[in-house]
Amino acid sequence: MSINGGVAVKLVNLTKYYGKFLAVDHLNLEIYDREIFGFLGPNGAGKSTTLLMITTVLRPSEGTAYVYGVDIRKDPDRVRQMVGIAFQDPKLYWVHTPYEILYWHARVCGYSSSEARQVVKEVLTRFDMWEARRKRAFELSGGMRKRVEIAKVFIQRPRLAIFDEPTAQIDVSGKHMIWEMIKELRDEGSTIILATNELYEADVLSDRVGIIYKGRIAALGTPQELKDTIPGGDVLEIDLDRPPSDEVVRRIEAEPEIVEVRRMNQRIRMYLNRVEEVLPRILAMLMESGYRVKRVDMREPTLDDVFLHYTGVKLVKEE
Amino acid sequence: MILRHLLLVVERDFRLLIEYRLFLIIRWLWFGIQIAIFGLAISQLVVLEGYINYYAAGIYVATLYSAAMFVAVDISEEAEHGVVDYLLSLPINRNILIIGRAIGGGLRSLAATAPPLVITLLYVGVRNPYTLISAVAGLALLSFGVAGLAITIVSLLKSGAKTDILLGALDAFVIRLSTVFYPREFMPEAYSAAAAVNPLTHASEVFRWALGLPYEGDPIFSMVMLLAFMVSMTSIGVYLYEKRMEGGGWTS
Repeated sequence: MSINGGVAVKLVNLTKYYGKFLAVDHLNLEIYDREIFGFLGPNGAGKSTTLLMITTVLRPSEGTAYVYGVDIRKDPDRVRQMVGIAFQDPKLYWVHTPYEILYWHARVCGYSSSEARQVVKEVLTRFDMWEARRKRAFELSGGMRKRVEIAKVFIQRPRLAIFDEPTAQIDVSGKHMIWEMIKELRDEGSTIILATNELYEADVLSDRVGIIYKGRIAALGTPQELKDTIPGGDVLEIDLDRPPSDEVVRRIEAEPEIVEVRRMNQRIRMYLNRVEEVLPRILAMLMESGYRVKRVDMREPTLDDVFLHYTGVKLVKEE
Repeated sequence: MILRHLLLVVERDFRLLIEYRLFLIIRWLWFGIQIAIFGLAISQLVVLEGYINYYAAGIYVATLYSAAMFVAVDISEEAEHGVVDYLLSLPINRNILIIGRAIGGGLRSLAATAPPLVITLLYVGVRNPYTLISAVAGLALLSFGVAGLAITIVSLLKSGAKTDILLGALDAFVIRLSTVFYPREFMPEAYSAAAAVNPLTHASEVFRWALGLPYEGDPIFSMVMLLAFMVSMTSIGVYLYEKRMEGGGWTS
């Protein structure tokens, strides 16, 4: 699939070692022009390292990336003119105020002084930060600092906008506002890379999602395409009073509509078709075998199921 | 665009001056006390005639050196707050970024030490306006060069704690192995040789020449040495900042 035809970012064997640790493992990936690309993975999967290489903050150990056809190794200055990033951890010097930070950022990005004053006021007002504009960075709450970090990208409005976990530390209303603003930015013509470990965020915002795990792309596609790759259209989870025996698992697997069974301590997760027909038979068998059913959950697959399917681990840790 | 970015980077570093106002006031008080108490007392012990003036010129150069070295503290603090990554991600040519930081840090140091400079000029007097302009130019070269040295140190160490320790050690050696406090003729031979190539020696002597005080060496040669110091330190700083900062690995 190619939205609007063009390729905005192309990773070619992009690799990063920290000493002997392989953080990003020969990534090959194309991100299309004017799409919101969700980069999904747990902490330490290699998301931020990949983004820092694309922004030329980190130098790749091997391979390269092209941003709108420009090689990050050969012409990093031109790449940086097209890219803006909101870092995962706000990068604010403690003595500076939100206004000073954003005004200087606007000037560096090419605004005249009067334009910079205007755009900074607009963005700070939209982020509900105008009142706090004169506070120093060390006086701001975590959420406010994060807003200032994200505001930089909305001032810059770059051709390629990168958000690294943009709504971490942000309250619910703030999250929805930022999601709307990210969509607006895309609609105005920017390509967006959205790194996140929040499944819902990736699901509602992304045109396509790339699941990264241990430095490699484990799965790639639209959220719906990825969910459709899960064997069996439905997910059934049953919590029991004790871990299921091998015999019980074998009997469940023998059901014709069952595609896959996973044991997770006292929980059985089944990927299957026609759950409404299969469920009564499975419950009857479990009770006949002396198990007490504590909870039953039926649903469509989520991106977490996709993640589990492709990596063998859950992105969201079990409570 | 290059000039615009250079000016913005210079302005950003220079503007930090306002943020350090309390620190500056303490520094100026320290300078005044150092001359009014220590300088006057030590000049009674020293056989060199008019040593208080000699001392005043030297202590100003030492103050300027310390102020310019403070750029290293800024950069290491910025790195701990992740600001270095932010600066590296901006649409600014990296060489312009570093040169701007060296110039901004150097100008800030000159501005931060302006009151002590004025006190020294008023106390000691000036030979003539031309020597004063030359001396300020020499002091500016020292200031930019030391800011470049600070960038070099912080880029090499990539650690706030190590930077603090090295700055303290360097301060002890660089100031004492120079003619900031005493002429070379009173130093052991090895110390005198080290002082001869020390930029603080050349800055002190140019400044003393401008003030009409006894000075050692040739002021023009000292200016050339200061220019070479500034160019070499800034160049090394530019090279190392990009090579070392890009790649993370910062420790507190």
